Amino acid sequence: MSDDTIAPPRSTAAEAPPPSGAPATAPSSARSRRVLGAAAMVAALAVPLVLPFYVDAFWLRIGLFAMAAAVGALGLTILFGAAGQLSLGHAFFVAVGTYGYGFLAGDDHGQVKGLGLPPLLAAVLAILFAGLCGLLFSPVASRLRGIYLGIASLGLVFLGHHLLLNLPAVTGGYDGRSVEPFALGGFTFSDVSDRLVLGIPFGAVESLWYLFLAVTVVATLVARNVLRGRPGRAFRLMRDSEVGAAAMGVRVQRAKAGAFVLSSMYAGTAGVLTALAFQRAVPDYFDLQLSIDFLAMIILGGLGSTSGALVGATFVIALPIVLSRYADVLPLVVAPGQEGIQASFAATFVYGVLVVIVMLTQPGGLRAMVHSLRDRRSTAH
Amino acid sequence: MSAPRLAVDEVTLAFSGLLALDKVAFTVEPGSIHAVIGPNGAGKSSLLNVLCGIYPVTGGRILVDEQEVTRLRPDRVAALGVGRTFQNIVVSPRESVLDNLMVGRHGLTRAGLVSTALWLGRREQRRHEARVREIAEFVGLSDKLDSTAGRLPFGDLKRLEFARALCLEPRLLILDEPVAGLNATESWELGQLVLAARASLDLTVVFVEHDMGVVMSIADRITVLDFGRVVAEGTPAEVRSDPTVVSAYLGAPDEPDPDESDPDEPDPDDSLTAETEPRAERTSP
Repeated sequence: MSDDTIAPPRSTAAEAPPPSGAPATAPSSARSRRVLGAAAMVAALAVPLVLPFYVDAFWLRIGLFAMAAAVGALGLTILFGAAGQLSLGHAFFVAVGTYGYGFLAGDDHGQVKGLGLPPLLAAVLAILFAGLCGLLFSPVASRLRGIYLGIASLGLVFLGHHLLLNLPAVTGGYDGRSVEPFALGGFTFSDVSDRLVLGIPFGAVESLWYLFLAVTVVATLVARNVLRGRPGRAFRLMRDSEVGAAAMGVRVQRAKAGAFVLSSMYAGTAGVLTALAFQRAVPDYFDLQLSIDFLAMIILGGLGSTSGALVGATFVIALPIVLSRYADVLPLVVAPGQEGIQASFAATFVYGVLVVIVMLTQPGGLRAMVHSLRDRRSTAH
Repeated sequence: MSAPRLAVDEVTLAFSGLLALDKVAFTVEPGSIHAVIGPNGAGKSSLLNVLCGIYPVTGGRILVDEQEVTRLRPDRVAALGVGRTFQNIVVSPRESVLDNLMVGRHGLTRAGLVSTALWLGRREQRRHEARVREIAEFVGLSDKLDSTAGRLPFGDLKRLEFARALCLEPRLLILDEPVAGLNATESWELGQLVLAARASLDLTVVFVEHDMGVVMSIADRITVLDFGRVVAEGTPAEVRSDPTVVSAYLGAPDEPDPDESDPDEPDPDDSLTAETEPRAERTSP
């Protein structure tokens, strides 16, 4: 971006009130915090990079689902957490991503059609298509706020479900459709026989792990940039007061539309990842429950926080799977098919209770907990 | 660009039959500080909201210099160099003071969703942050830039709003009860800040205030509103001696004291009518 596109501040520093002392530079505590943060980030990146060499496919598969969900949660935390625009239609845009990829990348299988595009192109187009759907809905999204948008967007879930069942050529109807594995320059992200990396069989799960990791990292960085930058600040003031934001020069309707489109693209990306992780698209997955799960993720993690979205998504996704895996060791919980509290039910119950606790005690979620600790520390010295 | 003249020309505002402003007309000279006073419900806040484009006028015109702002959206008005504060603090309580101030730069910066996502907004942000720090220094918030806004004491929140309005680099500054809820010392300090800002930034200032001490000491001219009409206008001395104003608002028998007579009693609207204004409340946390 060149400098001439930037409107110059109307008054220069010369007109400014004379500063009565040199402005304090970043205090050393801030610097050490930054170093710590960087170290934590390096660790957070290094551990996932080596994980496929140490844990088995069960855990890696949980990781795939968690990362797919995390990308969707990032989108919702921008929309709801930062901009204050509740959406219950997130599942719809995830479905658009999933089926969009399935249709664009897939081939014709009997009744179910496909365009057979290269997977990367299909993925990008599916994400753009989800964004386009968001754009089509944005006249509604930009005129409603908060809970009202939540109710309006609810309709999308039902519309989506109806379309999934009644467009069998694209969606495969009730049975869903299979999904073409991802491929990049001759490398297929599927179970190829005899592929070994450093002595480890490198199949679909292992290769997808790295693909998902790359997508999640990029999605997180983009979300951080947006939230920490000019649009994020505008979103948050708009969330707290639309009139206040407008008086600061924010075009409120446009900002709402922008947040909605961006979050739809995140949901679309999550949909593509979901398609790749499941290797199949089934309509029943994309119901209201999925939208609610995304909400639970970002509330647990802390609204408007990227790290909160990642942690919340991992928790909500992993809990039912882990509970059912260890059902025989855990008290009260039983494996599917046995009599007692089913693991998935128990998990819903646990995070439902946690959402209530978080809302009552720490409405800001994990992020607010970290912040209040920091504030307490900084007032202490 | 220098301080603009603000012309309010026969502005009428009706809320479904209820006349909030009835042909209100006055002119604010470039570089002057103009107070709007009147009892609760007189239409003062409505007037400010009309000036910033939040309420669309029913009739009349508003001109900032030669530019008509009557039917512009609030963000367009802000882009013309109109900065404002709110009666009930409007900040993001969970964000840092610096973040809250940086929102004031929104109209002066350009980084959109795509360029921010692609790491392209950083240089612009850094440059504007430097200016925001200067403004924070000016209002005395430099050491609180990293604090969460919701944890600030009330007086600092008022300063934060004032500073954020300055962050728009306004030519016309609109303040809605800038000292409501502050004690006498804080009120006086904020009054001095308004004077200092006008002097160093070349501003025209319009403000609504109940604290007669502050009004009388910083205003160049005063417009008195009642039931949506202008009932008096003039210099503080003229308004103070205007019989209709005195009997209606200032309380006939004892003259309001323009100076802070009793610093022990932090009553911001001591000299106005007996009506009590709901004290400005924090929006949350």
